[in-house]
Amino acid sequence: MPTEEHLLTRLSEPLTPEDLGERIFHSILRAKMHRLAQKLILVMAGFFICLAYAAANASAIWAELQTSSFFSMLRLSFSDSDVLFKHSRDLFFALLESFPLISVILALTCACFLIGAGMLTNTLRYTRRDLLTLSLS
Amino acid sequence: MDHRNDQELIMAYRAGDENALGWLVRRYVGPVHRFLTRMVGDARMAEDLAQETFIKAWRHLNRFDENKPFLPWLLTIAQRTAIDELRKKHALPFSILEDEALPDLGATIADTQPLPDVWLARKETAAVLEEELLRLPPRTRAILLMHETEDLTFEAIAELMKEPMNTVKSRYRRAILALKKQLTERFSTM
Repeated sequence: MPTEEHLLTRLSEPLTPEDLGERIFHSILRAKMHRLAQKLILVMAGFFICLAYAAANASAIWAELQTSSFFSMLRLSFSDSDVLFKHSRDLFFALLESFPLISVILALTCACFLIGAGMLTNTLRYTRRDLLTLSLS
Repeated sequence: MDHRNDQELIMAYRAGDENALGWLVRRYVGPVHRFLTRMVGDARMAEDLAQETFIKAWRHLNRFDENKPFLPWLLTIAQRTAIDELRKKHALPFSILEDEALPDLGATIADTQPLPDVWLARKETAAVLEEELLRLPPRTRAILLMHETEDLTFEAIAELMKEPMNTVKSRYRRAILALKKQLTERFSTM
């Protein structure tokens, strides 16, 4: 005998549209692409800010590289390795002191942004391909 | 059809298999849509909410503990999405059975006998039931639907809703009695 606990078995069964799953899956892929595109814009903005900074300070950066004795000391350590052994400690500190820090950090940041942009573009491309090719049917 | 279980599909998705997510969507779109249709009483709105539910689930899938069952987690997201939407639209008269009014409800029901078969067999029972279901407070409605139509245990519902099990049970019982009372009133006048 039916009791009140079984009332809800009397509810009609809602019909789920057959393509709803596919529509939802595609909307998830579109949301993913949107998110990736947003990240890509941020990364590219970071890259261009770095480039702009480098361009705006090109002369200072170039001067830093020119005047820095870092590379000449580095060359010296290869050409006169006996000197290196004799004064290794002094050379190490001299290298540290003359390291063109800002230029190197700037170059590394640019490289990181560029690599990130490449990876995001790749993922975006794969997601777009999935959106066009993957089907649940 | 993919025969991998939910856990395997989630892990496959995390490893980069987009299609695994597609299979999860396909597996659960029916239950989620059914639940949402009964929560909001509108199949078209339920489609949009199902989409929103799965997008939210996708966003949080990396944080989901794959050792736990997937459907209850999905239904919790669906329930919150539905409640947010209902709040936004103010489409339903929540006041009639708000949670604070529920404790006294059981006491007002004099007749606790089962409903007559002849009523339950009537064609319009489903429609009346759906209508009356929508008059329940959304959280109570969700408890009722999760337990009755999606077969979730009270323990699971209590854990998902972060409420004591006794509260969930008593809400369920009072909601059932309220539904019965409303049906009795409706059919008595027909």
